[in-house]
Amino acid sequence: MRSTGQHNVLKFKQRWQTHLWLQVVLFALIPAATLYILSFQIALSLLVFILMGLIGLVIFKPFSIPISRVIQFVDGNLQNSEYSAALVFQPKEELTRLAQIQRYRTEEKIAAELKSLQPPVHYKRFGICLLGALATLLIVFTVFKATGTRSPNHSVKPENEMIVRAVDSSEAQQIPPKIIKQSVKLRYPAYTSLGSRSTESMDIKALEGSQITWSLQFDQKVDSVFMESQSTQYLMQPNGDTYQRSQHVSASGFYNFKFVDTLGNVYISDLHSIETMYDEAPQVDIFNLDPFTSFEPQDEKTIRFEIQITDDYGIADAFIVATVSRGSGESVKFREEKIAFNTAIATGTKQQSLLQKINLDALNMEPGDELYFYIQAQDLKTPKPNIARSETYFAVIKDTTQYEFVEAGGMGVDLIPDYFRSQRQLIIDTEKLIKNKSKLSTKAFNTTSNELAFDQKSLRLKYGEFMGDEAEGGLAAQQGDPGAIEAETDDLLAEYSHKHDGANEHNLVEDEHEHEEKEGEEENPLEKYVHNHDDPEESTLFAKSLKRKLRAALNIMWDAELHLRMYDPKQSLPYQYEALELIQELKNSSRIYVHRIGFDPPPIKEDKRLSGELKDVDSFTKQEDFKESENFKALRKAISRLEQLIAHQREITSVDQETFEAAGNELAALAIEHPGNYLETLQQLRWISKNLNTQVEDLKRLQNGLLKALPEQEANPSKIKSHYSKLDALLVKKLDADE
Amino acid sequence: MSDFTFINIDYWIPVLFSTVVLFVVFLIKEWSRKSSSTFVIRIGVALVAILALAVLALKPASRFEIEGKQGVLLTQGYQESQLDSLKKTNPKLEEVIYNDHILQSQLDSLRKVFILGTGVQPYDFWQLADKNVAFLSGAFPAGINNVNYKTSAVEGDAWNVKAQYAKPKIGNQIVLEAPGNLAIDSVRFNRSQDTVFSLQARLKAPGNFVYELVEKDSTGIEIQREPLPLHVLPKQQLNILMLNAFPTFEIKYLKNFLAALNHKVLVRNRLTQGKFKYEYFNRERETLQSLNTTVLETIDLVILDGGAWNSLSRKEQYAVRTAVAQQGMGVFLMPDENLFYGNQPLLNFKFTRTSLSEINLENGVRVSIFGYLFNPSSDINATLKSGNSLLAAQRFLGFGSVSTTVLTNTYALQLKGNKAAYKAVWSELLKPVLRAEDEVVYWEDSHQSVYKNEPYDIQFRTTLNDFKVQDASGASLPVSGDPDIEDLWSVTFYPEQSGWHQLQLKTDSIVSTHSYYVLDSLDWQAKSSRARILANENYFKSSASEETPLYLKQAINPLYFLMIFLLAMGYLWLEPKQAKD
Repeated sequence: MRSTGQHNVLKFKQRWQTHLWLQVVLFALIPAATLYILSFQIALSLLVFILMGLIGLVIFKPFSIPISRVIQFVDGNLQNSEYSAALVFQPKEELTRLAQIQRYRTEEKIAAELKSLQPPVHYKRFGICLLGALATLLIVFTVFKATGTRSPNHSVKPENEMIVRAVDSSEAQQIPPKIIKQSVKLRYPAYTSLGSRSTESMDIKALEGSQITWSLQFDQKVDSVFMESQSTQYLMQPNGDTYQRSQHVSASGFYNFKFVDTLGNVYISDLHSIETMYDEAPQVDIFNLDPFTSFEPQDEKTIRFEIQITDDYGIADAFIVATVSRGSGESVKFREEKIAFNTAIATGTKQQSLLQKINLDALNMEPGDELYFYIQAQDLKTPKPNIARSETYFAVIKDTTQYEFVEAGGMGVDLIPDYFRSQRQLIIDTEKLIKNKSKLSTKAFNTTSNELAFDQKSLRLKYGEFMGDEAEGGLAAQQGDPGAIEAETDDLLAEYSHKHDGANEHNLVEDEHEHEEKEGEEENPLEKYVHNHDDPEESTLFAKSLKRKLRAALNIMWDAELHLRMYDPKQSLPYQYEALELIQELKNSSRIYVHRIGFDPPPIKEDKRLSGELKDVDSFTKQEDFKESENFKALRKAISRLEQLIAHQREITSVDQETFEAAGNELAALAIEHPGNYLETLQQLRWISKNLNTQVEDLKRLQNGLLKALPEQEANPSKIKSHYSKLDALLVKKLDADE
Repeated sequence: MSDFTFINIDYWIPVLFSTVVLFVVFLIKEWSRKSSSTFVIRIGVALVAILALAVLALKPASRFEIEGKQGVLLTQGYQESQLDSLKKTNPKLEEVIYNDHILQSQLDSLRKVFILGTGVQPYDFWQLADKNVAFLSGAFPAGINNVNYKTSAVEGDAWNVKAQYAKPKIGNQIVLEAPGNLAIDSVRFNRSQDTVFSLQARLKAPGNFVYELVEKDSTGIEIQREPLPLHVLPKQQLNILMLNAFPTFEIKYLKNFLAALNHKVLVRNRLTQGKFKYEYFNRERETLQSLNTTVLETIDLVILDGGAWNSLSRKEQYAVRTAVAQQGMGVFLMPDENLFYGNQPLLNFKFTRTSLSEINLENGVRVSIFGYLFNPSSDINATLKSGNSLLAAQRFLGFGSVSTTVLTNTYALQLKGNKAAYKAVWSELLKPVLRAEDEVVYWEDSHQSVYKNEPYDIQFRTTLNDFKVQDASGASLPVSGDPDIEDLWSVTFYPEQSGWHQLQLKTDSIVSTHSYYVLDSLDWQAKSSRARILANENYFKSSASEETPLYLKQAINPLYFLMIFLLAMGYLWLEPKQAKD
């Protein structure tokens, strides 16, 4: 019989053990559950559970806690046990009295305090062990998964299992070979550095340029295995008991397997798709930069912006292409430069953000220069990388100098001499004279007026030169008149007048005081350009209307000069204005010159129209045939034939098989864009063309798929059917007669 | 009131003849004793005997009008309550159940017949022709009770099904399914009133198909499926000639449109005097020096503009006119400004000015017009309308027709990217004016629904003689010709199987086939009930007012006449013996 003390200690031991058992169970359960969630394999998870349970038992040893250890723990942790817990387990009889008293006391204490004492279970240690176990498990799992040797002997998963049928079903009594192992190994192009991937699923999505390797293993010996794709057969190479074939992905398409067993029976698998994905070109975005930036020459001419380059499989390189243009018009010059980024591009990254500065001074740009730049990026794709470029951005350093308007710039020769401006000067002087009339003495006034008249005269003579007038002769002739006037006027004026005249008689141009610099250089400004001076009327300087205008201007200048000579500048002023206006018009005419060189066709005489020679004009003939290739003839025929097959439950004939095969080819062409969408229909067409799936339900599904796939037809005018009899003819005749 | 009549009144001529013969024989026999005093008496008695004999042969009877019974013919879908109330007023009402056939003997004793339910089949009307019938129709049953669609169409057509659903359930939907149960269009009922709906499909492949109207409840569970048999004709290749005085964009796009549809198109554009640009699409190159009857014989449609017409010689113009009037060729006038005030080729159309320069077609597409609209008149047939505005019209000339339009710059639709609208507009414009295909055998589709084991009448027109008409199993069918119209024939037969079948008309050299679809007896119940109700109402409308009296002939006992005969014979036998004595 146990004492209460013993009982309490044993209960404590039990509690301790329970905690340990719990740890063992958790230790086994958590990794097993994790594995199941990851792999959905119940057997494997159970195995792990048992294994981990065993390990747990070894680590935590829940079944054997020696009682001495319990007593030791109780002694150590129970404050008032006074290391006497062991006494509880000693028979009373063998104890001394003192010991008996001590034992009694200890029993009391144990009863009171042992319940609150926690067993020494190390949850920390448990946690570490559990984490360690989980980590190991995960590593093992990933390694298994990556190498594809997770379960070397398990057969193909049901959802990936290929349906294989014997082409000639009558011979299929014998058990057909079964595919026990199938795999597709996808090796991405080297530049993607993605390595390879294995899958059982035969519908493949692959990056362009990837290498696909199919391998099949059968449960019995087969004679040969083929892969059929786009109506071509490829023999699969036997390698031990597996058959393999590799291919580089270049386009989307379909394929299926075909194999011949040792007895010569042919089997085909259902159809699978290869969907090709294409490597996208990198995308270049520029942030925080206006498309157009301009700088003052004194600014700090630096452009700052952010660039983000992204690519789906890695960026190879990127740089800035900058073009500097200098000058304008015909003298523009370009200079192109490749600028590297401040930060180097990390090859192979999928996304990269950069901060870039461009200093315009570093590009030797001067005021007025313009910078155009864009960013070009390329990816790693081989053999030909995808290249992308950003928008083009502009930067300009403003130019402070301004271009002056060049008179008749387009003509090459500046025909209008500067004297033309003197008329305005004359007007200004005349107006000034009128204004100052009250301040001036009569003599001074008259003198000034006469001087102005002289200027007016020289101006007129200058223009006369343009007209081809004999300059000297003209001057001489005119001298008669002013002379006559002079005779009437007083001597003082004549004196002034003569002085000027005399000085100017030698060389009028030299005396032009408004344009002294030029006068020296060009005695006759036209001589350089004009070669035929002999006949004034043939002068090629101005068109006829211009000449008339100039003549009118000269005549008006006459009047202006006359009134100045008569000391009546007020009277002269309107004439001067009129002359100025005409001269302005002349200047403008020279600007219009460019417009006038356009072709102005001569009017056509009405009676000559459409009467030209037609002997070289020939009738033209053109012949063109629109092919009905887009018309899906076989598809439409197949739909119609299916309706009959469904309605009358007829057998499929060989003609039908041909139709369905042709329809299959048409559908494959249609499906090449999205192989997945039409896969089932295409598959059914293939079966039916081999006379395999001929259940009504299958046919209906096939018809459904075909109708869905067939593109809509366009509106098309079509005839109606009718029948005309003698009666109709009579009626029509009667109707026509009545009309 | 009773009348005296004979039962064997039909035999009165032979009876009279034998009577006369007997009498004459008797006269000859008695002539030797004419001096006898009893001669006249004997003659009289003999006459009585012979007459009695004749009456015995003719079986005299008296005719009574009798009080007939009232009967009720219970047809499919009758209502008990209606029958009950009828019985209340007339407890002796005799019930006859109608099960798609009726026996004359069941109707004999009935003076007045009430018909309850959806009525008798139209082929049984004759049985009730001389009866006083009151048709007490029930309500139209729920379901699709009227449907309207073309039973034959050309591939590429937009095909419409318009139907009426009586008393729909809210939430139910009708789905138009193409063969292979491919859902194409659907409608959902959101109120329980009778609803007319229209569903559309574009036909993609030629052949004999069965489209279906499937009724589904709100959870998508199929309730009913009604077949819509449809014969889709393959595309035809048209032979089109286009003549133009000068090239225009309109012509260019129209030409491309028609050529891309694989029609044979010959385009002749005038380059200058006597020089042309010929374009041959989908056809052999052949010289087209001048238009004549032989060239035009194969042409279905000539598209020309006013300038091209004017540049044709008088002979060519005559040839075109003849081809239209006598062979049914179509002419489409490509409109230009001159059409509206100048002389129009072939036939004159009348226009009115309008301030509009653009107009919306019925499908909402906006197109430009010349600023004119057609004057509606009785001698033109509108081929394109927008509301009340006539946008295109045709006038008939003999067997053919001439058509034109006020639309202009329709190619702009293509440039705007609305190619479908362009194609639809031109298909509509050209369709009516095309030369109709003259068939050797023209089967007149009566649009009747053909049911299994019910008579199917089909008429056809042909000028062929010695031909045989066979059904799908190769059995010959009896053909009857119309007594008045020489080339009209008809066949009546009872299809035994549902589905698509073909009739063949065969001569030694020609085989013409006609496809027809036989509905199963359970198809289109609601629709056939409604049609039957309407037919019955229509047929029995007139007979309800008058009550036809029922007569019964009751034979007079022939013993009386036998007695007379025996007495007369007795006298004639005894009289000579008495005379001897």
